[in-house]
Amino acid sequence: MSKEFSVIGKSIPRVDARAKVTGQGKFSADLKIPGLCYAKLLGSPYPHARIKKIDVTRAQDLPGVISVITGDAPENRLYGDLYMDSYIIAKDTVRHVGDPVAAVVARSEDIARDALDRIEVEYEELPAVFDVEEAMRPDCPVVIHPDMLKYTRLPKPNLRYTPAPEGRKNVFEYFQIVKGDIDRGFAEADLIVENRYTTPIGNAAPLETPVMDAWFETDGVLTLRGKTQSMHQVKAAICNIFHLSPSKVRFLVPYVGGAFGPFCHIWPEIIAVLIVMTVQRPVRLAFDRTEQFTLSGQKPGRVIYVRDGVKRDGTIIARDITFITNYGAYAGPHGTQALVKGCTGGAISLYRHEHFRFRGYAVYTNTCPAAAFRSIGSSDMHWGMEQQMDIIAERLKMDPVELRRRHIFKEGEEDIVGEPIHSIGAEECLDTAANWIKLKEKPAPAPGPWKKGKGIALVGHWVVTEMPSWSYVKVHKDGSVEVRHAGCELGQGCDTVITQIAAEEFGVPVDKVRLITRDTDVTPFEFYTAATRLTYYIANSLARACQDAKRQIFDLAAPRLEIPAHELALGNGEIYVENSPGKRIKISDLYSPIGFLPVPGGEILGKGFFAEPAIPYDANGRSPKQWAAHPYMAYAVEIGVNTETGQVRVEKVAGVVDVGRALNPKLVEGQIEGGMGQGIGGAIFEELILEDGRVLNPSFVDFCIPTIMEIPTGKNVASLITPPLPHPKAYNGVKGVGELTIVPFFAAVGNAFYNATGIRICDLPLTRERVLKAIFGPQLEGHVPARDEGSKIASSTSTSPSEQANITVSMPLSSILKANNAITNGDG
Amino acid sequence: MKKRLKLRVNGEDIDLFAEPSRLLKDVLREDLDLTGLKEGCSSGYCGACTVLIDNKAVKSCLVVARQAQGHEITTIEGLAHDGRLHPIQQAFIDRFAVQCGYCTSGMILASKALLDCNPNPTEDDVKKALVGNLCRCTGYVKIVEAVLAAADMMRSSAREGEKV
Repeated sequence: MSKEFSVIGKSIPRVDARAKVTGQGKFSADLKIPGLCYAKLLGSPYPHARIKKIDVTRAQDLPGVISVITGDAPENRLYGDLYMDSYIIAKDTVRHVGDPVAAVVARSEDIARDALDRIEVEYEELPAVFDVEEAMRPDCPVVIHPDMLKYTRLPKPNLRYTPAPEGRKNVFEYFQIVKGDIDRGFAEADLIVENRYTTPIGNAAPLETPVMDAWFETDGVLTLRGKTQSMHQVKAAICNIFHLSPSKVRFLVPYVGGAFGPFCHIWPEIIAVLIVMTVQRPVRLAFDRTEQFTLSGQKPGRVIYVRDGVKRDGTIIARDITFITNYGAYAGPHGTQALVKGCTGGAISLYRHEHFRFRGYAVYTNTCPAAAFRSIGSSDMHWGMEQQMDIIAERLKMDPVELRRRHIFKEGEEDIVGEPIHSIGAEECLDTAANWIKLKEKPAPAPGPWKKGKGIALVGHWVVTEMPSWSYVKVHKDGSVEVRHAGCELGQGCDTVITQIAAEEFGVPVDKVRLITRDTDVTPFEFYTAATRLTYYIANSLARACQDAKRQIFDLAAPRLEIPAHELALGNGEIYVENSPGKRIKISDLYSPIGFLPVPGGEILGKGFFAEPAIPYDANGRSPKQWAAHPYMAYAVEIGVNTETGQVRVEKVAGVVDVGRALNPKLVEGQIEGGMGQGIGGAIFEELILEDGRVLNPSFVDFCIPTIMEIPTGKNVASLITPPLPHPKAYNGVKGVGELTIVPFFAAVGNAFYNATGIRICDLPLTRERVLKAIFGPQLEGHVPARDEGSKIASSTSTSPSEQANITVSMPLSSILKANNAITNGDG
Repeated sequence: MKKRLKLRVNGEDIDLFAEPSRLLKDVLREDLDLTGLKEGCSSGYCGACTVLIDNKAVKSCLVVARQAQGHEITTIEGLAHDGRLHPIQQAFIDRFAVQCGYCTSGMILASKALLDCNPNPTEDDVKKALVGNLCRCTGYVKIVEAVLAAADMMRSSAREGEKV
């Protein structure tokens, strides 16, 4: 990779920065069309109930109210991403608190809100289930979707899922990966380490709350304008659900004020469409902060069992993961495709194990539906997996870095599911992070009640397959380049790196590149801006579009220069021959004097397409092609724990990424630091508290995302990027970064907490309450930490795994803890 | 009933009619189309709607517009002059302190309030001044860098000014 680049790899300023620092960049709420009406949703107050009667008369009579829409609306229908399991507005049954039962459209938002109070709904309450492990039991008395097996399932050829496995009526998807013989692996193990980890329901909490406008243009085109991560996919879904022609639907996307996952799918667009089809007037459906915390898709809560079988020499020969996700009441609104599979991309791409099993359960409960959130579960899975590594290292008295290093895949080796992997910078991430934090040295002693600790975690991540990308490029007479793409600029900086790629390919300065985007009418199809996929895919499709355009230019120039097209090069608007200074013409010379290009179409228009098809899984979840690329990352942290107040403070952080080539290193640093910020939130504060399915803390006062005071800055932070390694398909070695940077954070903090206190906490987040319970366990109610030889494990108090109808392990928690602390012969 | 309201915004005197209870945030965003300030929580916690009133950072969702009469209001739109960015705006670009941009106008104005009264802040001073402005994208690291860099820039241009 000795190739010299002039634009990519350089930290050029963001192309959108000026618009944003001057306040000129328009976000969804900043734009209004004349005649806009406002919609508000009435949600169910019950987690599970039958709707007996709705009376909207008093709401309808309020001056300023235009319409009240209920489940009876003719356009109301079943929809979903994987399952058609959800009505746009509830019909007959509500399944979570906030499940919409009516929408009011009024001249102002205030009137709409007032009208909500005047709708009278009579419910018959039904028994509800909230605990995900209770919901997944085969004998769970509450069945949330009795018709589940009758629902229409959308074809997802690459995914292999089973509904209702083992008679579990609330499990809507089960996915497994099996390698080797897991039982034999445990039988041969000298040490078995097993723990139950949990992560809470959370929220992406972007600063901008959802805003969706919908109206019909005079030519009958249904136009949506608002926040999304996926304008074309949402448009396509809406066309399918409402049987609309793609030529009659348009999606416009202003600047997006942070997204982080939940905006991939058709919520709340789907409701806005139902409303506009019903009232035939321009309508705005906007969520305030409370609604963002209660109605937009939640980061799901998860229970993760990790069981490892280890040989005396430190080889982890067997790893068994059971991954249970609380999806809430519906699989429909927020899209679940790949949510069970997705998180496995990290577990199968980092460490080698002879025997491996993953069992993923997606479970309905009577809580608000879940959506994607940065890494779709990988950060949760690694919260368990990477604490296991430290636990094992300690039991074997091994260096935790060495234990990890020993298991990392080598270049070209087959991953757990049988796909050869390339460009593996994991070891360098690990070593760089460990060295930066000086992992082997004890932290400086802390004053008073504070104890300090250091921790590390390493992860693999993924770039998805099966979601191709398209780009168009138009070259103008003056050599300037117009790029049409439908990536969504969410803040991550895709517009900047796309500009850099086009500038690099055409040899022009970045100000000669113009992006045309944010509008489905003028851009090619693109899959969602999520799953760490956009840069990898769009770089490849854009490079192909540039090559296509350049080929057309060379074909036009070749006869003029009397040089074969393949010997020509392009730069700064000129076509030239390397080492022949006289042989050059300008792109403008190809045009007629009055400015047209004498070719079919009259313009130079390059098209690019890039795909990475997957090879479907077999019954054991094995496949030689499921992932496009794997980025890697390690965090090393130093934390302080106040043993009197329970406060945890993250004091030093090194985030080291292998993202392949960083197209714009400062943007990658920004992703690392942003992942650290959200990591600190998730590790210490963020948790939606639910009581009977109702969110008790739907505000920034009670759901605390980190302020600037909780974040280490300046010399206490290092955002480091390892050099790119060759990859067969990545554009100049570019892999991806987005989600990656949150994934190892929680476990790094968990390991540092253990290092500081000698206590292992298995439940996120490390709130003061949880920390104090862990420290003063026996004195605090409802908590029984296990103790032995100086190492304590504080696990959550719900049902032990053995009572879970053998879904996970055969040992009760107490014996797991014993096993965890003694080298056994693998039979206990 | 709407009542007459006189505001001074970005150096301009503005006369308008508004409900007495109308919030400054809504007057600025909706009546005056100054949409650079954002609505993030409408309860004073996120800081996206920060404006300056007499050079102090104020959350405009907590201020009734009438309270701002007789005071100098500055929004992000009033910061650049003749297309020349304020040093804090420039530093936010140069230091990559912007991602989605939703918190940016509030961050920049809160930083200006700090630097106008403390031209030589420490890292800690910057953090204390920005504690009421949430950002979900950047992890704040580059925001702190940008404010310190802007302070540097402003101090050196002040020195240049003295020399002339």
